[in-house]
Amino acid sequence: MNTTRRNFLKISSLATGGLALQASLLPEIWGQEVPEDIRFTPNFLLEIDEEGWVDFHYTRHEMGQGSFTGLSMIMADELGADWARFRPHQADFDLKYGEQIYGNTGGSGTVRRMWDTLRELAAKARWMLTQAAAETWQVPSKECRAEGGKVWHDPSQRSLDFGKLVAKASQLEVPKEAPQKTRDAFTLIGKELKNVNLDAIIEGSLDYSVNIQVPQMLYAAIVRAPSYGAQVKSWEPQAVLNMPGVVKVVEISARNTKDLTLHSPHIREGVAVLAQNTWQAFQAQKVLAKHIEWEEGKNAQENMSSIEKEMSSAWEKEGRVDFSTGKALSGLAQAHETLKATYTNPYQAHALMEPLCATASVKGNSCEVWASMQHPRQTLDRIAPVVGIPRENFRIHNLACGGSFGRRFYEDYVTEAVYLSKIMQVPVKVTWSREDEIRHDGFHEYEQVRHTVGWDENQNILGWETTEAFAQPSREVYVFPLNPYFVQHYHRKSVGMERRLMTMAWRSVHAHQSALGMECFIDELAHAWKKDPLELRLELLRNLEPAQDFHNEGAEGLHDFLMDVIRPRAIRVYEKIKELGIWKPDKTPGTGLGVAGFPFGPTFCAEVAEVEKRQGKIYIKKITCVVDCGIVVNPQLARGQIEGGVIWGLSALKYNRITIEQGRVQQSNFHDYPILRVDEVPEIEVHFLESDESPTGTGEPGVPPLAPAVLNAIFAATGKRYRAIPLKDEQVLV
Amino acid sequence: MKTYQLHINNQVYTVEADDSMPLLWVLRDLLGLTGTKYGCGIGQCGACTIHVDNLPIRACCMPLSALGNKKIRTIEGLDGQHPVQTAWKAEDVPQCGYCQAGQIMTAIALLDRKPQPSPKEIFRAMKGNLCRCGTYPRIVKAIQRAAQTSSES
Repeated sequence: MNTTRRNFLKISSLATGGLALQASLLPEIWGQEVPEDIRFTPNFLLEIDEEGWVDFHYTRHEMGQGSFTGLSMIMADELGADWARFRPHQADFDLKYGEQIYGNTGGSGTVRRMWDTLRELAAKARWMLTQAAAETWQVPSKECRAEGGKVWHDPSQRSLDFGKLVAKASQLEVPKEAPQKTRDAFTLIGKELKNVNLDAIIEGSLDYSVNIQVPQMLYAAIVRAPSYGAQVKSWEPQAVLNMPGVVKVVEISARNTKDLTLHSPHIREGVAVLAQNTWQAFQAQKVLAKHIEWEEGKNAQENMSSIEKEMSSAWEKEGRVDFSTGKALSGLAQAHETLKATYTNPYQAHALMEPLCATASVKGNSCEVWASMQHPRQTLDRIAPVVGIPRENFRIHNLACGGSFGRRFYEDYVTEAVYLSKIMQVPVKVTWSREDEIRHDGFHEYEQVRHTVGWDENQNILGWETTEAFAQPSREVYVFPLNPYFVQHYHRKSVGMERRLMTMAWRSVHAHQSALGMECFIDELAHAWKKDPLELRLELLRNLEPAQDFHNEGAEGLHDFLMDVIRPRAIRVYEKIKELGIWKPDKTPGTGLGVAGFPFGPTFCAEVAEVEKRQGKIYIKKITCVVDCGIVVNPQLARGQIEGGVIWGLSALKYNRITIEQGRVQQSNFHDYPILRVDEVPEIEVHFLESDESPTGTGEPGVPPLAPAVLNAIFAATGKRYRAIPLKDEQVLV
Repeated sequence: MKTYQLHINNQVYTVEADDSMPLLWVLRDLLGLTGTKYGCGIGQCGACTIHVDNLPIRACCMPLSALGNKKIRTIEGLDGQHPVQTAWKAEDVPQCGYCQAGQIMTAIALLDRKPQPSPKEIFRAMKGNLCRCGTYPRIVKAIQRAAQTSSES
């Protein structure tokens, strides 16, 4: 559609983010010709043309979580736009955007972090359009309202399209403040509008990073270090140089590029083969792998039993104290009775449907990149010094991706493309094979957590200790170190160990591991105390007494967040479960109900699992989810996120485990790293609590409660307590 | 390298490639038909599902030399209004969307063969198509909706 963009709005600087949205700051970038009357700046999120079309620039990464649609709806609603004339665009990354506008996409935080910002921007724009109409009609602006892409004056039954107002509105000063809509005035937020990428996906035309082709491009496949930290020792290219399409073999290593892993900490050393298409590169990669010698460190001796052995000594280590209050340890020592249990999570892979891919074109001292990135700013910071090109000389296209779940937060695959293009001085596309994607993933790390709780004769808790041990350095562990049930005398520490495999964030990060321990343990405590597991949770949450003595820095903030945000939400969610009538303690033999809940950020999600044991097999019949995530911007998409979280959790519970022998990952593709299939999905029901609070995210919160809810249900049905996933000796079926 | 003529979406394409090159990479890298996706390369995930003489085939395991004059249909060969695509839109199925072309091609082949599939038949036909986002409940609903629509028309 050819639309005029002659006139458009000037949006003022944001009070908070240093965002300058001014029509006067209009650089020509990248030789792109900017017609005199079309003003463009990377800081523009909104443009409105004379035909009333609204262009919205989305400055986050869409990876299936739906925030492209969610942010579009927020912007359009607050603006009073006509959804049929609202065009969302994925914005390229540019340093000119501040962190507030183009920050990372992660932590289920895109809608949460952009809610106020977008509404502020949109409200100011709406105010200017309304003012322009009021001036045109010579009426008080408070008698005017914007809705459906028009400004209306109800007393005189007149309306003017946004397109007719842009000339006048762009002459106005941007207000410092503008009133935002109240919730009852929302026209789009809360509606089940379709995913804005829907048509392109259904027609097969959405541009994923793996679809990129640019002229003169070479296709690369890389043989990466077989064990963590291994370095290239020697290689022999002859066997592949005669293969069809092969152009060159290139080493990627620290000995060739100073400070390679210092700048790009997630890259693995390797030898790349460059060919004329992906297939030729993959074929040559297999042959090349046999002609490389590696300098391997001690990780090449590691296997699961050596890691498990090291983990078993974690409890005695000092570790890092995350949270400590009152007299937790002395209280435990004086306890009348104690309960102790240890829970285990394996290494897990992301197994993204679209394997990693990046294309780069280095020309002299500039570089253009096409990739899918959750954190393009950090990626740029890491790739630029590797090739010695100033950050300002990068042009970065952030493309849609076939799933990310934390993986594309890291820079390694982009570094590879930039590195190779710099050497070749032609565009290079690096595509990871499925085998590369599984074996050289950054894994959800192996973890064990141990809880110990002690109480007096009257079941008053005297002390509670949690130790969580991770197979990665503890400085990289970002835990949620809170115990929602008891904080007065609580001691929690994390213990790290040396890295044996690359580890990265994985959907719901450490909440997944922490929830397994906390939510199975509280179930064990309920059974030890002969109490109903749901009632015990509510009782402890309602009676939660604030802590008095904090023994470590930062504990107060975490404590207040628990008391003020998590606790009320958790209580509301568990009360809703009771209200739904799905929690029925009187059960028929062989069936079982299990409940678990966990916060992810400020969102609280609890799940009730219903299982049945028949002829020695366990059937997961139904998962009911209750979520408090504030205002639900798009219930249809949000429900999909929670359903997807449950299915992700079921894959982990049932199958997913990465193992290593002699430092080598033993799994490589979907035949030995299966993920859940369509016939394995139980009935899933999702309830969102009514709320007037700002939205707080749905991408990850559905994952953590799944495994403990099912394991608790299995205990209820069978009396057998499982404390590790995936389930090994039971057949769990739908 | 040999020259092949391929019948794709009612057009004839001429390509020069190795006998053993899988159709997937011919489509994607040589012909720029990127709607068909690479997922695993070993026929385990279904992302590359296309139709060869109306049967669902994994393009990643189909060598160029085996195609002859067979009629190939990819997602680009649909007009966006196919009843299965319409049902997919009505149910708002996709999240990341990467696997969906393969899902749709498998679903179309199922409904061609079985216009009113039972839930078991849907599972049997679709269990080779993986989705990491977890859109399975909506995939099943969309197939049932498409079947319903065709029985009404």
